[in-house]
Order: sequence, then structure tokens, then C-alpha cells
Amino acid sequence: MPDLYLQNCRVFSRFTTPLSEDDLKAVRIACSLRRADRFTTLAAAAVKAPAGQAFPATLPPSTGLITVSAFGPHKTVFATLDDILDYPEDMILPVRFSHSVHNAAAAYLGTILAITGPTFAVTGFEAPLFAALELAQTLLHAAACPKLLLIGVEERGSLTQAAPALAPERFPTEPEEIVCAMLLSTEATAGSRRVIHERHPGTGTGTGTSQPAAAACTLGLSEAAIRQLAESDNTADLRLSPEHAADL
Amino acid sequence: MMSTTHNLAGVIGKGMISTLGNTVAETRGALYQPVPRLPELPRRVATTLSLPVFEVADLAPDTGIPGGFSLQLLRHALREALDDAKLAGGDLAGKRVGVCMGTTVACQLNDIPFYATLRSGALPPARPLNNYIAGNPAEWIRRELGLNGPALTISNACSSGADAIGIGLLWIRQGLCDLVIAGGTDELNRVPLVGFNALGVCAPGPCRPFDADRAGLNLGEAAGVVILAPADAAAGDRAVCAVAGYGNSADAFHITQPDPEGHGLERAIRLSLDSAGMIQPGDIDFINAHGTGTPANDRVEAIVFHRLFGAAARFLSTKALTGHTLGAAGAIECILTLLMLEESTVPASMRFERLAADMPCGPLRSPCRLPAAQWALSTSLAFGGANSALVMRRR
Repeated sequence: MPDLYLQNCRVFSRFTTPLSEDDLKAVRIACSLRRADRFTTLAAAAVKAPAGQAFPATLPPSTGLITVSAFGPHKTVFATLDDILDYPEDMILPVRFSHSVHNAAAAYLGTILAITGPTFAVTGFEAPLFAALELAQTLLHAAACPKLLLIGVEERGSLTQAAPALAPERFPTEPEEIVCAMLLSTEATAGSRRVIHERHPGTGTGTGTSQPAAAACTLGLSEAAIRQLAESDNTADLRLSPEHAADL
Repeated sequence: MMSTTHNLAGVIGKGMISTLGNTVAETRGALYQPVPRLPELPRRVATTLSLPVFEVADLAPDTGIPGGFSLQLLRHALREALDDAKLAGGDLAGKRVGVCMGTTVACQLNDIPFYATLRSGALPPARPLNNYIAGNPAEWIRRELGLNGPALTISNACSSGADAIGIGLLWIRQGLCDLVIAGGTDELNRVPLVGFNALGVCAPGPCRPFDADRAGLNLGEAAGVVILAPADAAAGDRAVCAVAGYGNSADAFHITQPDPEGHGLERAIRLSLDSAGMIQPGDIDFINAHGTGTPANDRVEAIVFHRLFGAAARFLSTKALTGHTLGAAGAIECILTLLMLEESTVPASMRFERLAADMPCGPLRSPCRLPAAQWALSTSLAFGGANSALVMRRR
């Protein structure tokens, strides 16, 4: 596999630059996201929020796109369930349902950024950001796109808030809200960082890697890795190892 | 035409469950029946809606597995695919085995009683959350089989299953895996049923893909799994058929509607033909279309097929036989396409009778024997303007 290089990166979290609801409102207006849910707005904020590091205003139309999340737009899924619980089944709001799918955010991002390259929504609970990085490398290696934008999003909601009480072994604390945008390619350019990432070992044998430790977020990043991602002036190799809560 | 064997992923095992049958053998027989099964009102899914669906009836619910019925369907298809590939658990040890699965329902926690308790302010039982987490399809297979290769669950709505197989092809080509377990699964569930109804895309009767009187889709449920191996390795070399090409492109147009001119779909098809070794549209013997039966989807596909393959484009939809199985659709339609290549016969596009005025061409009205058929295409379109195309080849 060719090396993977990080051309640009923005990370919004409580460990780095936080995003306020005012920031999200600004993104909603700037990107005409009147009907989009908060999950999609968070994904758009990854590249369009005024706060944070500079990010290219335009990308090549053939840029690939991956969104990755563990819980996905669970607040919108629950809003659809509110409809089902509170109203007759033929009175469900179609806009809620259509925004409750994992790839709705990717669809909006493609439209906002006018990119039509290969587009994927990835989901999982075993360090899914690392599965998405491996997919990015696969697509770039296949020359399916010249660059790839990887957006990680985890949104807080009633489910994440209840998670520590429901599954304390897996979620010792509430999963962090985090948004990150990683513009990736297989070419080293000025200011880019080589990304060296491991695969989640799963439960198979032969990787020589121990089971991951508890992560700060459900994407599989530790607090240190989140801070490291946000170091815009650092051009040293970026070494990322998957971390997550205890296996089920 | 230019293609090379080393770019192929031999299909060494197949497993499938849908209303066409609980096995590939049953499916093969039912595929060519002149009078297909009709969709019926849901039995397992409690709903007040009178919408006909294609519901798998003969698989007893199994509580000994995490996740919902989607995972039970997946396990059923997975076991058949592994048996078909003559792979026992021990055969996978020491191999680099990747898992790539598509789904929509299995990656949403849409357990209504769980949520009703949560929103009331009480703490619901933990089981639905734990089952949801443990039921991520690719991660579940990796744990179940003790694998250590890549595990990727794709939720690209209705193209998820095709995308999963396409990524499996790339993993094989790039030497990342010795074997790939790829496919998709989705159960009938109340949430998508009421959601699709709210979108106004469900047909009140049996769906009629590409017909002038088409009035929408029927939802269905299914799982399809293929085992892929490099065609230049021993196992892959013995495979009768292979996955040969893959293309994926986004419309960047609308959250639920396809680009009416189908530019994204055309790009995906062209990319898949290039990926199959720079083959030309004229090399494609037939197309298994997405063909949901909705006015917008079918019109776009017909326009693109006419533009790329000409007025004589040979295509069909199998959704009148299985319903629209969402995240499983691309996977089971890949398997159905492989069966058509193996049988050298393409069935009629069921319930197509009359071409609409806004459609430049229509699907097959009767079965078509194609003894020399070598190349086939399967297309998938999804919510959010995702387009995928898989090229399959008989060797």
C-alpha cells in the first residue's frame, strides 16, 4: 500500500477547538442547511466552520468522501421514533426519516463541496476511524480519486448520555462529541504529514498487537491522538493506534 | 476490450436468503419461475399500514445472536457461503481474511420500546444497546470467525451491499486480503416501512419496475454473502464467475432524488467498465438494474442505459421478485447476476408490460437465452445520490 499523507486537518472537540451552537448556526446559514439535522451540520462544520485551522475552500470535483461515526445521526433516528410513538404511522415526517440514515451527511457534504467522487458512510464500534482510514488508503491506491476527505462525527444525545449507565464497561464516561476533517492523499506535499495507522486487531490472532485501551471517543481516538491531530504546524509522522473501550 | 485475470476476484462461495428462497439453490430455481410470488402484508412487523412487502417467512427467530433479524439473515447466508466455498473455521486461520458488509437497519438503534423508556426519563434495559453495538455486521463476522483482517461496515443506504462487494474486489486486487467475505443484510423493520411510506415511494400493490404504471416499491428483506479470492490463486482460479469491476460516484444533487439526467450513475458505470479492464459498453451482455419501481429511479436508469448501451440495451429488474431489500439489495443482485451468468439465461423483468412515454427503452419482456454471455453489470442507486456499479464476468 502506498503511504497516506494528511494534507489538512481540523478537529473540533473539548480537547482542541470546541464548536459552539453559534458556530453551528453560522455553518447552517452559510451552507443553506435549513432542513439538515445537527449531525449533518456538525459534519459540514468540520470543513466550513469559521473557527479552527484554514481548510481549502474548494476541492477537486473527483475528491472522494468518507463519513465515519459509531452512533451516527441517532438523535434524528429517535426523532423519527418520536413521530411513530406520538402520531399515526401515516403522519411521519418524511424529512426526519430521510435524514436519519448514516449517509445523509455525506450526501449534504457532497452537494456543499460540489464533489462527486466515491462516497461512503462507514459505521462501527471497534475504532471505526481506523477502518475508514484503511478504506481511504484503498480508494486512493485504486486511483478512484486524487484526494479524499474523511469526516469523523460523533454527536451527543440522549443515547450517548445514557451509555455509561447502560454499558459502563464499554463506556466508562459519556462518549465525546467530536468532529474531524482529514484531507488525505498519497502524495507528500509541503506541510503534509505521513499517517501511519494500525488496524483494530479484532479478536483474531497473529497481529502482535494487544487489545486497545479505553478511548476518549467512539471513533477510536485517545485524547492524546485527538490533540496530535490538531497540531497544524507539526509535519512529523502521525502515528495513530486504535483505542476503544473494553470488548463486549 | 482489454481485461486481465489478475484483476478479477473469483467468487468461490455464495450464500443468499430472500423471499426467492433460503438458499442459492432454491433461489436459482425460483429466479426462472414464470409466475413469481406476490408480496403480502407484513406478518412479523407490527404496522397499521396496508403495504405489501416481501417478508422471509421460513427462518425461525433465533435469540442466541446479537443484533436483530438482520444478523440472523446474515448468519444464514454466511454459513451457506462458507459451506459453498468449502471453508471450515480452521481453514481461515492464518489467512488474511477481510470482511466488508452493507446494511441500513442494523446500524440504527431503532428499538421503539427501548426509546420509549429512555424518553420517559427512566433507564431502559441495556440489552438493546449492547445488541446494537455487538450486531455491527462486519465486526460481528470478524469476532464470530476470529479474523484479524479489515472489517468494514458500509451504510450507503440502498447501494451498501454493492459497495461492500466492490471494496472487497479492491482489497483482493491490492493484495490486502487472501479472502474477502462481502455482502449485505437488511431486515424488514417498522421504521423504514413507515419512513418509505412517508416519502410517498411505496406501491399500494405489487411493484412494477420500469412499467408505465409503476407506482413505487415494495420493501423486502434479505442477506447475500460472497466469498472472494484472487483469480490467480488456486481457489479463485476454479471459480466459474468473478467480480471484475467496480465504480462509485455521487450525484451531489439532492438528499433523496436522483440527478434526473443520471450523470452520477453514468460515471459509476463508466468507472466500473474501466475497472474491469477498460471494457466497452458493447461488451456488456446484460444489466441487472436497480429498478425499484419508483418513477424517478426507473426513468433515470432507462435514460442512462439508453445513452450508454443504446436502444437495444438488455436489462431487467429483480425487485418484483425480492422487493427492495435496502442494504442487502446490491449484494443479492450481484448473486442473482452471477446465477444468470452461470445459467446463460436472463429472466424476464417481471410485471413490466408497457413502456412509459418518458422512458427511452424498456427491460426484457421475456426470458433471454445468452449462451455466450460473459459480462454483466449490476447497478445500485441510493438515498443521497450514491451510485454504484459492479461488473461480473463468467470465465
